[in-house]
Amino acid sequence: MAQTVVTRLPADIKNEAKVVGAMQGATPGEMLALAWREYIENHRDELALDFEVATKMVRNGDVEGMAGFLGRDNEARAAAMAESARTGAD
Amino acid sequence: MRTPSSLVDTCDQRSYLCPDYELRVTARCVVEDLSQPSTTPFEDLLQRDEIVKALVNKRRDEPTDTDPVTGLTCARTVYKLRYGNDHRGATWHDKDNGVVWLLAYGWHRVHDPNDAFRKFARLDAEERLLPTAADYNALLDDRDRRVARVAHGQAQDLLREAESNLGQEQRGIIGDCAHVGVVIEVVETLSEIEVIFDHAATPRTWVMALPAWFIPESGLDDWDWNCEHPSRELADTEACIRYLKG
Repeated sequence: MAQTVVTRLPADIKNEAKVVGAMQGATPGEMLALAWREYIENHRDELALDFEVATKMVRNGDVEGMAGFLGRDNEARAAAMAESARTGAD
Repeated sequence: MRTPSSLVDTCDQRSYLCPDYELRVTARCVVEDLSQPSTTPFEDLLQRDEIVKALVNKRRDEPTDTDPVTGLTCARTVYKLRYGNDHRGATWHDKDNGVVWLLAYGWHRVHDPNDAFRKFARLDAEERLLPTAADYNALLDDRDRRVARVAHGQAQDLLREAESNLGQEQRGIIGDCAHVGVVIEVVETLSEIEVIFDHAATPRTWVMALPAWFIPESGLDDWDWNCEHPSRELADTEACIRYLKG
């Protein structure tokens, strides 16, 4: 798979938006939209590189490469899913 | 989880795909109970193991049952899966992740220490009954491979629908979970393609893949990432991105 920068949408972006929104009198939705836009602007270089990698793989029909691209978080996500399965209840 | 319609009732990698969930066997069960390598495709398990046939026959249309396995310490509802007089399995409907897991399999012999239900209780006590991180990693990998195969075609289908219904948002699912809308508006010689998605529900590694599936010949700067929906208010967690086609 091509080398790529791992971009990180902050996991707590939604909570931050709620807190800041409450402080500034804005709705959580407005603050979330603002946080989203700021994220795109602040990480433009990394995102551009990611996008270049993604478009190239789609154009080349590189299924394995794209699967790897989509799965960059899988290890952490899988650990959280297993913990939830173990500690949760039906 | 929503299985692409063309794949419903098919085996795909280590899964059997139902409309709203998939059937899988934990790696521990495959290796220890069915004596196969952990990476064995579901189709191969289905051909050789009666309990896997029972899993498909009895859980394909209904993910749970009425008869739970009793005496387990985990807080999950695990159901008995029966095949004939001798074969017993244990299944769990993992609603959060859209999977019915075959957790364990054994022979039912009431007074035998290796009886299936004693075995299930032992595995539960040892915390080896439920799916592990490795099981979930395999699930996510298989799903990503499936999405990578179908997403570009799904995006192009949505684009065609939007081209046939200018100005009207066409809704669809990309992969198995990304609910998106597409609107095309034509202004003189320019086409504006708006793609709306829920950025809270879309896996973060998909954010750059989504526009790539729609317009693979585009660059990041060809997209406006901060636009409004042309005809409705966006929901709190929705984002709308726009591509201008000359």
